[in-house]
Amino acid sequence: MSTEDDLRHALHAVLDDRPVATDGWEAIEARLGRRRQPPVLMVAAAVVAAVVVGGALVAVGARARDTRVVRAGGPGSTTTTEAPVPTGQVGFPGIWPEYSWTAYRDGATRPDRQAGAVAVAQAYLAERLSLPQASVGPYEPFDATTGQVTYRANGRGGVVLLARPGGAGAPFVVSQSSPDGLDVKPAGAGSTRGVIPDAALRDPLVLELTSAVDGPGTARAGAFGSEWSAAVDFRAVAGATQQVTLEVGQPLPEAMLVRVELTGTGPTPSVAEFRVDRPRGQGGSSVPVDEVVALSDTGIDLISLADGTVTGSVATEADLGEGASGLALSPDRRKIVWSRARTGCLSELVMRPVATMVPATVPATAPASSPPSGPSDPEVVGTGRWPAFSPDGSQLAYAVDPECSGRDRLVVRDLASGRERVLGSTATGSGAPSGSGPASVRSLSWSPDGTRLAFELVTTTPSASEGGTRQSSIRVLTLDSAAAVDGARALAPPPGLSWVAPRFLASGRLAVAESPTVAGKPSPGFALVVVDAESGAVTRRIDVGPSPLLALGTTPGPAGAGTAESVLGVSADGVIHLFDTDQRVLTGGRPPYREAAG
Amino acid sequence: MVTNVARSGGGVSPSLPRRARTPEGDTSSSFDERSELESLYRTHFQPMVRLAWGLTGSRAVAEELVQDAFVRLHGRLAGVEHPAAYLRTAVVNACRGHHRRVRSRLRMAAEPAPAGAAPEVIELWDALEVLSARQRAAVVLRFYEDLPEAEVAQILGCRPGTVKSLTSRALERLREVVER
Repeated sequence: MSTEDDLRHALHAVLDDRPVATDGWEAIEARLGRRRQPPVLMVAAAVVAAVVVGGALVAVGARARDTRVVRAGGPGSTTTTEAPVPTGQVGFPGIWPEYSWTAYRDGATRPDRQAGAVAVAQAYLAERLSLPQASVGPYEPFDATTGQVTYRANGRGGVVLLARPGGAGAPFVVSQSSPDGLDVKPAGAGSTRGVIPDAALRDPLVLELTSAVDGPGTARAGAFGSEWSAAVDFRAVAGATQQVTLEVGQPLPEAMLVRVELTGTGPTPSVAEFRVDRPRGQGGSSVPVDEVVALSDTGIDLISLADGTVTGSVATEADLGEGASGLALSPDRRKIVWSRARTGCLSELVMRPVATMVPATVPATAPASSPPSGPSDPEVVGTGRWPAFSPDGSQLAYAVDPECSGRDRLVVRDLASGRERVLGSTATGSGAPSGSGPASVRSLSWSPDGTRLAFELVTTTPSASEGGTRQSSIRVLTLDSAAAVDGARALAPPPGLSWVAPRFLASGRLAVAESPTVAGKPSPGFALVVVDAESGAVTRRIDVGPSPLLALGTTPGPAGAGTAESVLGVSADGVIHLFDTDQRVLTGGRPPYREAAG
Repeated sequence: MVTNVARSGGGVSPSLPRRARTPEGDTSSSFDERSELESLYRTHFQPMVRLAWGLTGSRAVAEELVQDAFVRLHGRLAGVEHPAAYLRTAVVNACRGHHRRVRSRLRMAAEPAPAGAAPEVIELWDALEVLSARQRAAVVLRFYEDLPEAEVAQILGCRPGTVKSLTSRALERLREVVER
């Protein structure tokens, strides 16, 4: 591929479909209202220095020309500003609420969140890590949506990462590597910073650490809200990777803070800290084969297929966010993904390892002073709805309508490279009548061989009298074909019936939920129907009683049941049905549920 | 596969508009500029931020610059034939001005490519930092906005041949950096 094509791809990969703030019209109006001269825009460079004054931390903006800066006050300090500041203040909810800051560039009506973030990072280094001489310098622009900002601290190679993996409004997490090259992680975990999947709280907890310097150190762990409960001394050997074992004791708390310090390296000891969460469910970092995940208004539960009991929770109501839907479980059963509403028509895709370790959300004070912590924050992985993992788990298909046009694009993303492929848009298909209304995609499902995607296409036909008629149809799109989304093969139900929520089965057939389209008439009622994915011919039909199925999932089924595949159906009354050799209702759990996957 | 999505400035005529003024003395025009501007904001703020982001490497700076461009547009929209194209030129100019102002100062590091981006994407995105403002503008307008050379030339105020040489030099430079 030429550099030209590579560049084109790179620009689109970085710039497209990334959220951009759209709340700025009010600010423009305010500026127009004042009819002032346009401001001279200056980048608020990393010129904030932190000093500790009488126990209170004040971040003072060293002024670059044209730059109007910053204050940040710790407890008891007074807020200072260096110039008239417009009303309004930006804050980062959840992060060190004792600090507040507002930063504006000269003439700007919107706070400068980068300068503010720098001030807070500075505060963190100075007060929490006892690195008052540290400076925060070259930093990446603060991304207000993802909350990602990276700092290189104090010129000795340390890095502070301030991140808000849960997206706007979610709590921040902080991680840092130390200036003495102290890196610590649970043994077997793949990374020393950021969200570390596949690492969980165990007893004993084995840590792997490396240090750039020799010297004594201490590793401690404690449950949030209590005292340190485990501690061990060690001697670091420069350049060597060594293991430190902490007996954390049983029963395991929900989460523990781990703190490792090099104590012999001078007045500013190196510190690494992070949080480890107890594995959710019995399966540790994956959903056991005899359990399924189910989404309700109050969270995502792990439910036993054997008796329907709830064995754990993998997401809380707060994690879910508004309008959560499209729950999917990765084929290796280690990750869940769903979508939740963001702003306007846009939804974001959020992913979470079934068990997660994240950097500490609280500073390195003793656990006794730390607030109780909830589960780790889900990671926002993109914009879209109806995510579906490919059978090998390497790709994620989803629908997205970045322009809020009512027309969805079908996108496949390679999860390793991040490269995205737009399969088509519902606006471009030959089947789209001119002037037709919105056409959206729902309920994506991959065929077991990974060559086709089934989905529900919902079209709204403009109607003068009623404002639109919604129609659903089941479509099967062959990947790598030139067919546009609207041109994908449609599977037509018998007259008087509608099919929704397609789900490929291991056999290559499709399970769909069937309902009569005309209420009140004699009809076959609600059913789960298995159809041929080519012809749409019905091969099996199972009545489901008085409540229609709204969402379907599949599961390998209870352990010991061989390779038979079971279908999960969630009916309108919130009950999960399990269709295998015999139909069962999972009566336990905390219904009403809306979706299930296994 | 290149996915050419989210084109900026959809519906914009390829011809660069002339900046027209309202007739002298016509101070009571019924032209509702505020509404026009707001409508332009709704449809073009996001695409323009993406363009400016590509030009400056920073989303935060891009948002500020585009907001500034909208404010400056006020009072100048009446009679503009193609407001969107006019806006785009204003944004490109603002980004070039930004480059001039920050060149001798502490440079802000480029915003990192999105998490999970392919290594080659990250490499190229970072490599854009080595280009001059004009080179960067040329390649972003050509390969992100997909504008023809003639239109890029109008925006940059140069001849199409200059765009061609800016583009080829930029690509050459990027190749050097990536291969190094």
